Amino acid sequence: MIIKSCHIAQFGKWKEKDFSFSDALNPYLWENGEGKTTLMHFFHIMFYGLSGERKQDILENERKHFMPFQGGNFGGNIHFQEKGKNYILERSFGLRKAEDSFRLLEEGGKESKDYSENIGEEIFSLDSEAFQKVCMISHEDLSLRFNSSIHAKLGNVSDDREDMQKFQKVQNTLKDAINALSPNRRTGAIFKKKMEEESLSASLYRKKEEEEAVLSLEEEVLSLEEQWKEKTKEEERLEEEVQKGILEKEALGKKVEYQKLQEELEKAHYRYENAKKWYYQNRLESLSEEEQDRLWKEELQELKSKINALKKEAEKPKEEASSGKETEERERRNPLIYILSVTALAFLLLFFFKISGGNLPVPGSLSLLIAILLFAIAFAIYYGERERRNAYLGRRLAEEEKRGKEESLRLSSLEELLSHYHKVEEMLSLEAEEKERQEALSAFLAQGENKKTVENSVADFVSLEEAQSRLERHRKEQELLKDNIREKREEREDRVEILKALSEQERTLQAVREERQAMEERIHILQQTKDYLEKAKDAFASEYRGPILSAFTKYFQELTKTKMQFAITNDLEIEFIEGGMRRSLAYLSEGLQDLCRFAMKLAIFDAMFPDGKAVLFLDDPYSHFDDEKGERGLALLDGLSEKRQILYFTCSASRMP
Amino acid sequence: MVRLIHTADLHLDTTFSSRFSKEEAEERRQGLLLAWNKLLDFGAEKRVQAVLIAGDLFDSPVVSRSTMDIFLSSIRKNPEISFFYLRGNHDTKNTFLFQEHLPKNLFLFSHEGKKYRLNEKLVLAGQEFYGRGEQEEENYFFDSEEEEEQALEEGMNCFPEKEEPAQGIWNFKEEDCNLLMLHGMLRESSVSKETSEEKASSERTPEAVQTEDGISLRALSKYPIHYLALGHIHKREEGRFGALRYLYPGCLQGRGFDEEGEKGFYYLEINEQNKEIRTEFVPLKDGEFRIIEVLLSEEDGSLEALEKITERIREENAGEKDSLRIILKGEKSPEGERNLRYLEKQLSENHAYVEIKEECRLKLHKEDFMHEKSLKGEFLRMVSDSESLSEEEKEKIILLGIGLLQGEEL
Repeated sequence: MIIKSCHIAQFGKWKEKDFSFSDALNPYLWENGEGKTTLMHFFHIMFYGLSGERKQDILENERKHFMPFQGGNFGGNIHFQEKGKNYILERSFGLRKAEDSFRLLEEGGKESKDYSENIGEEIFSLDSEAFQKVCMISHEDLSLRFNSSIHAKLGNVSDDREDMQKFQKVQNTLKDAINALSPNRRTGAIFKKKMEEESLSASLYRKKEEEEAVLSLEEEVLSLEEQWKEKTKEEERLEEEVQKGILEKEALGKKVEYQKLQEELEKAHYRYENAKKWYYQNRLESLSEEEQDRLWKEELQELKSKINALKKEAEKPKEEASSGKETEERERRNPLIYILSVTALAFLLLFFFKISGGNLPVPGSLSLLIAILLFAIAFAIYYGERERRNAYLGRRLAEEEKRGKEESLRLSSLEELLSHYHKVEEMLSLEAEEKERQEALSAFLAQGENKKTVENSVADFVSLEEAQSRLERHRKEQELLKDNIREKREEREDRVEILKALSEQERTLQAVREERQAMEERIHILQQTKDYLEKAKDAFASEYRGPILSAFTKYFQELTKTKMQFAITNDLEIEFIEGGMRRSLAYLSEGLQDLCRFAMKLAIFDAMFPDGKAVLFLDDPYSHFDDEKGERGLALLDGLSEKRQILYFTCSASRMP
Repeated sequence: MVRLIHTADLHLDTTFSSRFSKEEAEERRQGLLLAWNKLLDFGAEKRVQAVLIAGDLFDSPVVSRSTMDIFLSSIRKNPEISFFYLRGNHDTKNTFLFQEHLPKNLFLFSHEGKKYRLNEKLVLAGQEFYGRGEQEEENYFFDSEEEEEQALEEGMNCFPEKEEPAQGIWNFKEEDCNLLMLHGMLRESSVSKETSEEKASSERTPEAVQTEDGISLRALSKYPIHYLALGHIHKREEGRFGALRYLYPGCLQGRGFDEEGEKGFYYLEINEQNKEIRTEFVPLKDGEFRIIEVLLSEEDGSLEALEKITERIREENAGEKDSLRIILKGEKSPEGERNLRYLEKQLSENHAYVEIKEECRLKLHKEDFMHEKSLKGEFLRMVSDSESLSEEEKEKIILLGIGLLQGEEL
C-alpha cells in the first residue's frame, strides 16, 4: 500500500494542508511541535476512525482530543494505491459519531465498495492499536525511560508504552480472577461457597427429620385422641357406676329409714297391744280386733262420766264451805263498830280541839266522855261478836272434820277411778301413736321410689367410695392425657416453625448452589479464555518468532556493526547469548537497549508485512542514538525504503537522511 | 341445573424459589391464599353449590397452622357451599385428620373411594391414589351417625344429600349424571394419541383405573362417567376419550416460570337431566408469570434494548403484579455488551419481578479477523474453530478475551 498524497481539511494544527509522498523515503525536518505526531495520527484515524468514544479522558477520547477548539468538523482525504489500484479515502468527523462521514472513491471519482469503513483492518490486517504499534515507531517507544522491558509480547506486538505487557496483564488478570474463584484454595470463592453449601446441606438433614417428627407427632396426637375417646367412654361408665353407688347409698338410707319407721310402728303396736291386754285381761281373747279397739273407748267414756259425777259431789262441800266463809267474811264486816269508832274518834278530836283552844259549843270533857263511851260500846260489840264467832267456828270445824272424813272416802275411790281412767286414757295416745307411726310408714312408702327401693334387694353392691375414687383417678388420667395432647400439638407447631426456618434455609441453599454453579461456569470460562489466549499467543509467537529473530539480528548488526548471537523466547523476548548463556537485553547499556528496541520494531514490522506493503511512520527514532549509530540508522533507512514507503520525521538536521 | 367450581393444585404454603427474597416469597404465599379467596368470591357471586378440589391443596405434608386456619375458616364462612377434597401426591393421610373441628361442609374421600349423591340425578365420586398412611377412617369429622344426620337436618350440608355406601364406587347408574374426581397423570390423553400398542395391550388384559403409570381413560370409558375432574397437571388441559370428557384446570396461580401464562379455575354448569356440562375457564389475572421474547439487533445497546423490551411488555399486556422473564433474542456485537442489571432494575420499577436472560447470538464476521495478524485475530480464529467448545462457551470466551485485550475490566 502506497500513500500518494493527502489533504488535511482540519486536523489538530493542520488546516487545509496538502502533502505529497514518494513511494520510498519521505523525510521531514520539523521543529518540535510542528505537527509530526499530529500527521501520524491523521493517517491513523483516516484508516481506522476515532477510538475511545466511550472514554471521558481527552487523551483517550480521540474525538475530544482532535476536535478543533473552534468546533466544526475535522478530517480530510488520502490518495493511496493498493494492489495497483488508486483510491481516494475521504473522512470527516463531527461532534458525534452520527455526524461522521466516510467515502471511498476510485481514481475517477466513482464510489468504490472495495473496502468498508474498517478499511485499515482490511488493508493492513491489523486492528487500530496494532497498526499504531507496528507501523508507527516513535522515539518514545524506544526509550528505556518509558518502557520497562524490551518485549514484543503479542498483545503488545509493539506496545512498550505500558508498564506491563498487555497480554501478560490480561493473563495475570485472568489468573487472579481464577484464583479468587478457586474451588481448591481456602480463600477461593467457590471453595467458600462449597463450604457454605455443605454447612447448609448438613443442617438440612434436619429438615427431613423434622418433617418426619412432625408427621410422627401428628400420628401420636391422633392416637392419643383415640385414647381420649376411649377414656371419655370409660368416664361415662364410671360416672354411671358412681351414680349407681349414690342411688344405692340413697336406697340404703331409705331402707334404714324404712326399717326405723317399721320398728317404731312395731313398738307402738306392741305397746298398744300390751295396753289392750292389760285393759281387757281375760276378755281379750273373746273379743275381735274391732271390739278390742272399740270397747275400751266406750268404757273410757263411761269411766269419764263416773269420774265427772264423783267430781261434782266432791265439789259441793267446797261450795258450802266457801259460802260459810263468805258469811263469816260478811259478819266480820259489822259496820256499827266502825261507825261508833269513827264517832268516838271525832269526839276525841273535838276534845283535842277544845283543849287546844278551839271554840266549841260543847265542853271538851263532854266530847271526851262521849268519845270514851262510844269506844266502849264499839269494843263491847266487837267482843260479843268475837265470842259468837269463835263458837261458830268451833261448830264449823267439827262439821268440817266430819265432812272431810266423808270426802276422803269419796276421793280415794275417785282417785282410783282417775288412775284407771288415766291409764285407759293413755291407750288413746298409744293408739294415736300407732296410727301415727302407720301413717308415717305409709307416707314414706308413698314417697317417690321408696316403695320400690325398699322392696328391691341389692344385687351387685357397688361401693360408692370405691367408684368415686376410680372416677377421680380416671379423671386425673384424662387431665394428664389432655395435657399431653395439648403439649404434643404445641410441640408440633414449634416443629412446624422450625421447618419453616429450615425451608428458608433450603431456599438459601438453593441460591448458594446456583451461585456456586454460576461461579463454576465463570471459572471454566475464565480458564478457557486464559488457555486459548495462551494458545493463540504461542501460535502467533511461533509464526513470527523466526522471522522476528532473523530480522532483529540483521538490523542489530546493521546498526551496530557488531555480530552478536541472539535468541528469542516464547514470549518473543529477545535475549543475547554470551558464554553459552542466554541473557536479557537489560544487561546491555541503555543506548544499546534503545537500539535493540528499534531493531525489534523494525523486525516486527517486517514480520507483519513480509512483502513490505505497508507504510512505516518513523518519528525521530534515532534521537537517543549516538552519532555513529545514528548514521548507521540513516543508512539503514535507505535500505528500508527500497521495499517500503517510509514517512520519516526528525527535528534535527543531523538526523536527516 | 347445578353450579360447581373445579380447581386443583393450589399448593398453598409453597416455599418458593430462591430467586425471591424471604419477604417476596412470603408475599407470594399470601398471594396464593388471596387467589383462593377470589375463587370463593366468584363462587358466592355465582351461588355455586359445590367446589371440587382435585388434589394438592397444600404443597407439603406439613402445613402451618395459620394457613390451615385461614383455609378452614374460609370454608366455614361459606356454609352454603359444599367443598369436596380429594388428596393428591403432596398430601398425607393426616392433612385434615389432624385438625380439630373440621367444617361440616368439607367432604373427603378415601383410597377405597367414596360417592356422594348431590341430588336425585347427580352423583360425585372420587378415589384417592395418593396420601400416605395405612389406615383409613370412614368418617373424618363426624363422631357418630347421629351427628351426621343432625348436620344434614340442620341444613349445613344441603349438598350432598347423603353418602353412598363405600363398597365399590364403580357401580355407577346409567340414569345418573356421574362425576368422578381423580388426581394423577393420564396414561393416554385421547383416542387419537393412544397408540395401537396401548390399545391392544389394554384390550388383552383388564386395566386398573389408576396405577403407578397413571390414570387409564380406556379403563374409565367402560363406566357411565360424564365428567372426569382431574388434578396434578399444572397446565390446564381438556379433552375427550370417546364419550368420556376430562379436564385439568391447571394450578390456581403460577409459582414460577415453569408455570407461566394464564391461570385460574373452571366454572361448571351441569344439567343433570340431559347430562350436559358447560365449562367456562375463569382466569385469575394478578400475579402471572410471563415469558416474553424480545428480538434485538447487533446495533442495539442497552437503551435501545430497554425501549424494545418496554414495547413488547406493552404488547403482551403484562400487569404490574406479573413476574417477567425477558429473553433477549437476536444478535449482539463482541464490542458492545448490554447492561442486563441496569435493564432489570429499570423494569422492576413497574413489575413485581423481572429477570433478563441474554440469548442473543454473538455476531462474528469471521472474514473480518480471518487474516488479522494479531493476537486477537489468532485468538478469535482458535476459539471459533474449536470443536470442544459449545457455541455458548465460544461466545462467552470471545467476549471476555476481546474485552480484556481492549483494556476492559473484568
